[in-house]
Amino acid sequence: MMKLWNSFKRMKFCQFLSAVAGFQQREVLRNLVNKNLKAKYAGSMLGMLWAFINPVLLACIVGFIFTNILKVNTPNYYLYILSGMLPWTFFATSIQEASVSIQGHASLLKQFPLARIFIPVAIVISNFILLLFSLTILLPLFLIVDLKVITLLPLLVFALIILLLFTLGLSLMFAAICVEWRDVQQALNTLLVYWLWLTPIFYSAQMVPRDYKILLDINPINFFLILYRNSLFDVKTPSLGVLGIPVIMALGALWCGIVLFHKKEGGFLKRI
Amino acid sequence: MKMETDIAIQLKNVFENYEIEIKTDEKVIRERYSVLNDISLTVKKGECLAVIGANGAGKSTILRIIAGLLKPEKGEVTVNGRVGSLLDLGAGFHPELTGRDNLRLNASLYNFNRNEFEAKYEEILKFADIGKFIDVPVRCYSQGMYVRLAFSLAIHVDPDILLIDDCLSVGDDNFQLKSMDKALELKSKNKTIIFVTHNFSLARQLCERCIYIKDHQIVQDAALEEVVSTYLAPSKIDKEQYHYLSAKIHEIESYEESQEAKRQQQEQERRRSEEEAAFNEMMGRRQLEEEIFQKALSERRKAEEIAWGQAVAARRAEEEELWRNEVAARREAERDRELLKKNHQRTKEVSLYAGALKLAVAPSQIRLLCDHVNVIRNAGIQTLFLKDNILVCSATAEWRIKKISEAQIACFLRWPGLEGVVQRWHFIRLENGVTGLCISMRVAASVCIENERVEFWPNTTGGVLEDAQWGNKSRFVFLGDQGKVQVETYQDDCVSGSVDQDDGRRVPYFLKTCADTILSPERASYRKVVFNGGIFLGDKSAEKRPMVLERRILRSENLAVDFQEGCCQIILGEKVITTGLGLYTSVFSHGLWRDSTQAKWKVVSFSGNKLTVRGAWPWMPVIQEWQVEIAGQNRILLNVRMKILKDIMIDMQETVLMLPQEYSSWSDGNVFQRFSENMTSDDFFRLCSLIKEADGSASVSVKGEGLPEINFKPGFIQGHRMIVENSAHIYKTQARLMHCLKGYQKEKGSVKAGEMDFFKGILTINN
Repeated sequence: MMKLWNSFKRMKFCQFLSAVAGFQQREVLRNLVNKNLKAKYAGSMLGMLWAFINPVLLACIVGFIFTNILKVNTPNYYLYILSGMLPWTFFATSIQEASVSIQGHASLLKQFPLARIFIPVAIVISNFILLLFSLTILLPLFLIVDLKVITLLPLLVFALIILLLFTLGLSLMFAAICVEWRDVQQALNTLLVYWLWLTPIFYSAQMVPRDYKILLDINPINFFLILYRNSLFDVKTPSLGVLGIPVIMALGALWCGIVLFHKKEGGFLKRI
Repeated sequence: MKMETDIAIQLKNVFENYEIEIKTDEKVIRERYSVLNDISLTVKKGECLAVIGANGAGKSTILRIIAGLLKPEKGEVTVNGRVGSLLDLGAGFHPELTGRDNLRLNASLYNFNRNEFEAKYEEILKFADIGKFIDVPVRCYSQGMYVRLAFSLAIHVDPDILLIDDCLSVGDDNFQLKSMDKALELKSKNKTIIFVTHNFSLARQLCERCIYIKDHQIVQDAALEEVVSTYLAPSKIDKEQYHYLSAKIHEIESYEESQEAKRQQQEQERRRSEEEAAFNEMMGRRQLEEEIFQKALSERRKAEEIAWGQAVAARRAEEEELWRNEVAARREAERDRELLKKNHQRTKEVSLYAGALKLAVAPSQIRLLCDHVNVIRNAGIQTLFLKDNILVCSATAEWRIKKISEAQIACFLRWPGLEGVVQRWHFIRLENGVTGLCISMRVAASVCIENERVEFWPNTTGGVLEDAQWGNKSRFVFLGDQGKVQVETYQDDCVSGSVDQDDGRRVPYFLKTCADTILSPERASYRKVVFNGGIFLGDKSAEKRPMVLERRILRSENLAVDFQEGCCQIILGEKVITTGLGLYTSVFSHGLWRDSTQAKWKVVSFSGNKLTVRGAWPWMPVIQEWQVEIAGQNRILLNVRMKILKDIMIDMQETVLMLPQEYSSWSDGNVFQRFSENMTSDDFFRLCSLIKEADGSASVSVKGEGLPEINFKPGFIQGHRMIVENSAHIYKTQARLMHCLKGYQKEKGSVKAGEMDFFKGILTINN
């Protein structure tokens, strides 16, 4: 039994969790998140509001083009875009920022022996806080359109949590990889634009021709977006399968992320 | 398992490698690069360890491993206690955040919780002393402010182990002092400090132990001074570097030359415009003078009517006023000069480390520091020379100082109004902690330069311990607070001596005079070496020169003559009855007396009571041969012949007997007189008693209570005069001098090559 417990203890994930559980470490993490939020909007007047303004502005222009020029006629099209745009922004920004985070914190890493995993984690958390912030502002809009949204709030919370875990996993992976292979960092920007357009955010899944449906099925982020759409826009209870697949993906991604990060983190200081 | 409690840090056989990419144009090679190679180190609690070594030796990597930033590839690391560190100049600050926010983040990274932090916050701020900048984003900070803030935090988190990676040197003097105080305070609390540095004076204040890391290994682990001296000693001037350095010097020289040409051209233009202005001014002045003359003529009568007493009173008041003004002005000037000097030190000083000494060079001020104490005062080292009988001093020169490398400093001195004369001072760090100094001169046109002198101004209460007047001719030692400081030349043609200053301290100097003093230009290199020598601390000599003292003692019953390096002491029984230089000869040439003690002596023959010695003057073509003989019980015969190898200028020559001040009266057979006790230099001629020209019969006797009567009788030589003198105005000590002097005024000082009799005489000692 003891042996089992020891082997369990040796697992990296547990170490990380116990680290977070420690009071002092929580303080460090909190300060790092705090620092990220402050540093991100340092010097701007509107501050955190930009986290909300940016996706709204983007939704406006895309909405304008799609309804007036391309003649898409989905009801409440602007809200439709927004319901996908917000989680996507969180996901994409987190990965992008995490990929440069280790180099960006070189000075800190050279000075303090802090758990290096905190750096991408803090970035994801700070972006998550921004997501919550903008959701809180936009939620009344969705409520006005359909009051039943309120009954599906638990689903929204569930969707938020698993998206957080999934994003965390991918961020850790990219953070670890990008220190060693700087090319990935460069490719990531274009990759994210491709990904954005291949994900049904500006259009709905029904519009995609049957031949290309496969693109949706292999797109992991699509599974998460379905949950958001269900809770915010479509207002319908999803099936168990729709709930289960993203959970498995999130946990898998997180596991891979942590393992990969721990494998690579020893060499960070020699490369930055 | 319980840890041994008195060990703070332990590294056991630590290895660390980096992987580097070597990117050439054709290909990229990945290579493993060893940064630490089998490092083992134990640091006890309360110990202060300095880490020194060249860049890239692996010092910072060791600190990173101790701080837990890096995991070693192989080996064990044990660290007991909380670590405070200052490893990176960026100090882990985010540039967009304010100092306060950054502090808060960093404090939590030091395992400092929020309450602890708030409690110490004021203290941290006070120590960092950056004022309102604490609430400004740190991107606006200067590097010094970064370090102040970071260091302030690092020492206030109450660390058990403090790691500092040579960041402190960014801070100003004041902050460095404060930091040192704080570090010493930590040390007194039994905390451990590890200090990577290139600033040995800081390290010296803090650490006793030091490790020297070279090529990723610990090569020495010992007391600080020892390690520092080996670190500096390897005299990295190996051949390749030496060539590089000399090429560099050459480069500087050619640059100086081109500058010189440019300057001369400017000078010419300036002079032309000046002449024009002067001419205009002269015309104007002439007109003015005429007006003044007319005015004065009319006012003269009025002036005569003014009462005499009134005039006197007025003048006195005026004088007083003037005096007061002058005092004030002088004080002001003094203050300005002080200020200027201070500024100079701040801005223009470059320094060199050699062993325990730090040499700091600023225009007209050389400082030689040992633990922050300057061992030389005022200008420190200064050169003087006569050019057309005008004294020129390095203090009035324009200095240009170049630091060529960590081991070399070159200074170029030019004098305004002395075109084309360049003096080069070249300081170089040699082995064994010796600072070499070579001063050389170059001229653009033939010029007559005489009596170059290099003066060292010791800042010492201990006085000069040893100088050339006794024995060793080219070295002197003075006692600073840190021990003996030695200065010595490697030249043969340099003579050292010392002059007394008004404050009673002595200034030693090296003097070089040559019969051939016309310097002519030769572009190749610096023409004339004025001084070539070394400065160092302690008893060791850079170049062990066997100190051969030619010393013989003649003895006959109870009378003895002790010949040593150009002077004879007369001993009666056990008592030495002469003083100072005793019996010696001297030649006055080119404005200086050259005593026989400065010559190099060699014994030609020696039997119990007869001695023949030959001495060569190092800086003039003169050789003297002395025959000293004790005849009978109380007579000493001295026969001196002089050989002149080349025509030279000699103004005077003399043979002197120097006696203690107890001798109170003298007599030449006809006159009987006492030596005057109180003398000033004004009395010189009055109290020098010239006795009629020695025609073979003159003799002088001196008497003193409790001392034997001495009779000094020159022999046959025509044209000599006897002088009896109290020497108080020349030497600080009282002494009686009996000269037998010959002047060459009639021949205008030029003496042809050849052999001549210098002196022949008898000394009779009547007990």
